[in-house]
Amino acid sequence: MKSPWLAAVGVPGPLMDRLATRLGFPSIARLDAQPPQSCMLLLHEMTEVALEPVLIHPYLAYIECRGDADEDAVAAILATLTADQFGMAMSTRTAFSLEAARLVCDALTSRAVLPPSLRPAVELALHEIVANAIIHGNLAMDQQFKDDPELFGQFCELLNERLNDTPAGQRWIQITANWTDDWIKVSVIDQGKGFTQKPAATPVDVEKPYGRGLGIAAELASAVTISDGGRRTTLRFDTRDA
Amino acid sequence: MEYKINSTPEATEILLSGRMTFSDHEKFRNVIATFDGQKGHQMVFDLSGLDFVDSSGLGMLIIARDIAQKKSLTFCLRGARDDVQRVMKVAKFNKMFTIID
Repeated sequence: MKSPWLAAVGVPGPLMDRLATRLGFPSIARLDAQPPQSCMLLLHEMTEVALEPVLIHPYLAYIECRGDADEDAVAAILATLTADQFGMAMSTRTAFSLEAARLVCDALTSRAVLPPSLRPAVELALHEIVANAIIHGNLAMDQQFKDDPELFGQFCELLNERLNDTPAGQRWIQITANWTDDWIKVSVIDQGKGFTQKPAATPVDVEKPYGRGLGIAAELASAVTISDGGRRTTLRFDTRDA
Repeated sequence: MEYKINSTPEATEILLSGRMTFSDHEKFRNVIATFDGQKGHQMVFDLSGLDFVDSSGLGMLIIARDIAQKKSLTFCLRGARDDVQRVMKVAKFNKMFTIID
């Protein structure tokens, strides 16, 4: 497979050059409106404001790359993303404040991959899986919502602590998409400890204040597959009749 | 998510707007901190300004309902629309909540 190009917004030039050399990707010094076919984009600031103008262009992937980024980790992510038709990768901390599912759906809609009739289902199901990857995967929150103001407060504090913690808050969240004329598959990959026992898809109508995310995703998707020891969840949506 | 609280002697109305998701724990903590009143005081969650709610948001509404019950306040939801109404239907919220429209 031909190597993709590498472009960057706000990333120091020497850092991008080192990554490009290391991966054997040709790099683009200046970002033009229209990227060459098959180009990955590194972003110093992974915010909605930074993503909006570039998301409509057909980049292959969008990867957070701050000046102090772990180069080995960024290089590894770039290498794995070459296998997908679309990708996005960011830190847990960034994913927590970014509406990643909505942005991925915007990108797939502008590429005419996601039919408008399917969008609400894909966005909600993907959002649920991203939330699980952040909260239960990378931040390893086993504690659940509690029906008590004090315990709920403790949950909030622990969550904030882990978000600002290293390495938990800096673990990667990766979202990929692949498609044919018949289906779209979106995957979410985290770097948590995973799980060996497949979680029972909790019925969505239980009275508990937690645990219905996977159930909602399962209701909306044509199929849900969990792999990589629980660190990768793939949703398939059939598009033929959509 | 943004919220606005209107209180009268009979009822507290909480107007939610925007997107209510897992990243709104902190704000929701402030919302439930305002739960107070005499027995039977009405807590009304107006969802008409909400564009999107996820399973964490639904969980927070269940927590709010249970806290209201513990304090003998009455609790209801109103005004859900579009995507919010859809997810509440998937989660069978009509069985768990008093919904007025």
